[in-house]
Amino acid sequence: MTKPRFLLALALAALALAALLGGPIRAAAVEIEVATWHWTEPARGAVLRKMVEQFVREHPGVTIKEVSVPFPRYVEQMLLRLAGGAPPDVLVATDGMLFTFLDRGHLAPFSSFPPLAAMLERDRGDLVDGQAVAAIGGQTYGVVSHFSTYGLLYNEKLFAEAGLTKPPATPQEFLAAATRLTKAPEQFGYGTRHSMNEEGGWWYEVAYWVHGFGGRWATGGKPSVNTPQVVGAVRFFKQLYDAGVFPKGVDAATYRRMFWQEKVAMLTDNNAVYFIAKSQNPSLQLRAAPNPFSPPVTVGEISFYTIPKGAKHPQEAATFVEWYRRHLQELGMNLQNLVGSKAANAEILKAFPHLQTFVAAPLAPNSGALPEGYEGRMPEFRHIVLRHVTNVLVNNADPAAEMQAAQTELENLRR
Amino acid sequence: MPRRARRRGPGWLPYGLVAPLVALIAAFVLYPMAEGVRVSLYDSRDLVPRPEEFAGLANFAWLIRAPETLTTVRVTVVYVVVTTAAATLIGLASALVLNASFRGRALFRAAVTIPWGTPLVASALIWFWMFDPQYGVVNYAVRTLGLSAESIPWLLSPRWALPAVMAVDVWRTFPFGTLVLLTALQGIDADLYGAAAVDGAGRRAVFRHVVLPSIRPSLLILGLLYTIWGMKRFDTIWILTQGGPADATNVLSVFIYREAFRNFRVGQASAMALVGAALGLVATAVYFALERRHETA
Repeated sequence: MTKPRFLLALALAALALAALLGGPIRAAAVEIEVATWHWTEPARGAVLRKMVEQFVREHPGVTIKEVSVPFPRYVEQMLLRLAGGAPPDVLVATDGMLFTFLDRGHLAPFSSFPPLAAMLERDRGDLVDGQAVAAIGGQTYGVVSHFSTYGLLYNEKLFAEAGLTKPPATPQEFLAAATRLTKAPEQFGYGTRHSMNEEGGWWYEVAYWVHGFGGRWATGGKPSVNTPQVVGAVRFFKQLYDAGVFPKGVDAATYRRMFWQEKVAMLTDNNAVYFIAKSQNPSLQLRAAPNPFSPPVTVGEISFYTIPKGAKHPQEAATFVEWYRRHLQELGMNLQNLVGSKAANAEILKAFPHLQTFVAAPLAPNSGALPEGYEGRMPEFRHIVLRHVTNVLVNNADPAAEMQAAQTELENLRR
Repeated sequence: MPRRARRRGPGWLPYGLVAPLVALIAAFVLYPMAEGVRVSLYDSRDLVPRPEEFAGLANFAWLIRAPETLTTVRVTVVYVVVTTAAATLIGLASALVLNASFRGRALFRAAVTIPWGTPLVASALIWFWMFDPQYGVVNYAVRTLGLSAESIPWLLSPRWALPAVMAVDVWRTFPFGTLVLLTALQGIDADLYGAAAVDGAGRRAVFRHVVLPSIRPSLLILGLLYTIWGMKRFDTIWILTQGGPADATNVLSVFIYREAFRNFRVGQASAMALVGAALGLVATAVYFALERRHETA
C-alpha cells in the first residue's frame, strides 16, 4: 500500500470508529456556570451536586460548571467577575449580597426571562415572605432558595435543674432565666456574639433584639437607630452583658459547642444550629421556642438564585433556576432546612416539626438585617452602629447618647 | 584607540541582562502602584471603577475631613512606634544574653526563634484563646500573681486591646531582631573588647563605646524593617480584633481592607494606601538621614 492510500484508509477507519463509539455528531453542549459558596460546603455541596446531575440528565445538551468560592471571599470574587464583564450564568446571593450586586447594576430582572416571569406568576401563592426582599422597584431580581431564621433554642434539662418550667416569653423573663441558669464559669445562661471581630454575625444578634423591641434600623430611607425601641434594645443587651450571663470573649463556634456540651443553656440562633447541635449531641434535650417578644418577630438570612446581566447563557440559566425552584423540596428535606416554597415547607415541617417555631415567627422587614434604603451599604451602616454599641458595652457609654451619635454619623454617611 | 574601545564595549548586553528584572519590577511593582494612584482618583462603589466615576482629588479631600483618618493614623503611629521600639529592645537584650557564654546556649538560641517560625495565623489564634477572659491563661496568670482580682477583657476593652495586640506582634517579631543583632555582635572584633579592657572601660562603657557603634548599622536596618512591617501588619490584628473594639486597633491596613473589601470603596481605600505609602517613605527617609549623618560624623 502506498503512503497516501494508507493515510486515507487510516482516516476512514478513524471516522468509522468515531461513528461507532459516538453515534451521531452532537452539537456542542451549553455550559452554565453556577456560582455559589455552597459548592465548598460538604453537606450542601453534595445535595446541590445531586440535583444538578438530575437537571443535566433531564436537559441533554446542557452542562453545569461549578464556580466554587468559599463564603468569606465570595462577594469580592463575584464583584470582580461582574465588574470585569465575565459574570457566571447563575449567581447565588444572600439578601445582603443581592443588594450589593444590584446597587452596582449587575443583576438582570426576571421579567427578561419568559420561564422565570411565568414561574413568578404561576407560584405567586407559593412564594415565602422573604421573596419580598428581592422585589425592588416593581422588578424581581432573585428567587428564594432557602432561608434561616432566628429562634430561641434552649436546653430543657438545664431549665429543669434550675427550676424553670417554661421558656421565657419576654426580654425581662429572658434576663431572669439567663441569670438563674448562670453558674460561671462552668455554666452560662446564654451564648451570643458580642464583639467586632465577629461583626457580621453579631449584627444578626443585635438585629434580633432590636426588632424584638419593635425597632427598625431605618425607616423610609432615613436611619432610625436613635428611636426609643432601638435604644431600649441596646440597653437590654448591655444588661445581659453586665449580668455576665454569657461567656465574654468567646466566639460563636465556641459558645455553640458549649451549648451542645450543656455548658450554655440558651441561644438565640438560626435553625441550622438546631440541626448541628442535635447531630453533635443526640442526647441533648434541645427545644426551640418562640422568640421572647410579642409578636415573636425574627430576623434571618435568605439565599437567592439570581441571573447577572451579561450572563453568557441567560435563557439556559433561567431554565435551570425555574427547574431548581420546582425541586426545592428535595433540597429542604436533605438539608433539614426551610426553602422558598410554602408547599415544600409544609412537607418539610411534617418531617422536621421543630422547624415550625422558626417558620411561625414573622420575619422582620427586609429580613431584619438590611436597613431600609441602605441595603447596598449595609456593611458601612453595620460598622457604625456596632462601633457605638461596643462603646455602650465596654465603655459604659449612655445607650441613648451613643445611638444618637450613631444616628448623626449615619445621616452624614458619605455617598 | 578610544573608538576601538567603544566598539569593544559591552553594547546592549547589560541592558539585556537587566531587562527581565526591570520587566518584572514594572509588572509587579510599578504597574500596581500606578494603578493604585489611578484608582484613588475615582469615587467608585465597584471593584473596577468606571470612567464616569472619576472624582479627581475628592477621596483625598474626604480623607482630610473624615474623623476616622486621624484616629487611624494615630493608632498606626502608636502601633508602629511601640512595636518597633519594644521588638528592637527585647531583640537586643536577648541577643546580648545569647552572645554570652553559658551552658545550653545553643538550645536557647534555637528556642528563641520559635515565635518567629510559628505560622502567623496559628499563633494569632492561640493568642486569641490565651486572652480569653474566662478561660485564658493570661488572665489566670494575672489573677494568680495578684495583679487583678477581676478578669481583664483584653481584646474586648478599648483600653487593653491595642496593648494586647502589640504584645502579640512583639512576641512574634523580636526573634528576628535577636538573630540580626546576634550576628552583628558576633562580627565585633575581639581586639576592640581587649583594647577597651586595657583602657579600663566598664561594662556600660564597653556597651556604649564598642558594642553600640559596631551594631549601629544593623540596628538602623532592623528599625527600618520593623517600621515597614508594623505599618503593613494586618493578619494578627484582623484575627484578634478586626480593628475593634470601638476602632481601638484600627490601623491603616485594617482600614484599607475594610474600605476596599467590606464597603467596596476602592477609591478611598487606594487614597488611604497612598497616605500609608507616604508615611512609609517618610520613615525610610528618616532612617537613611540618620545613617548618612552617622557616616559623615
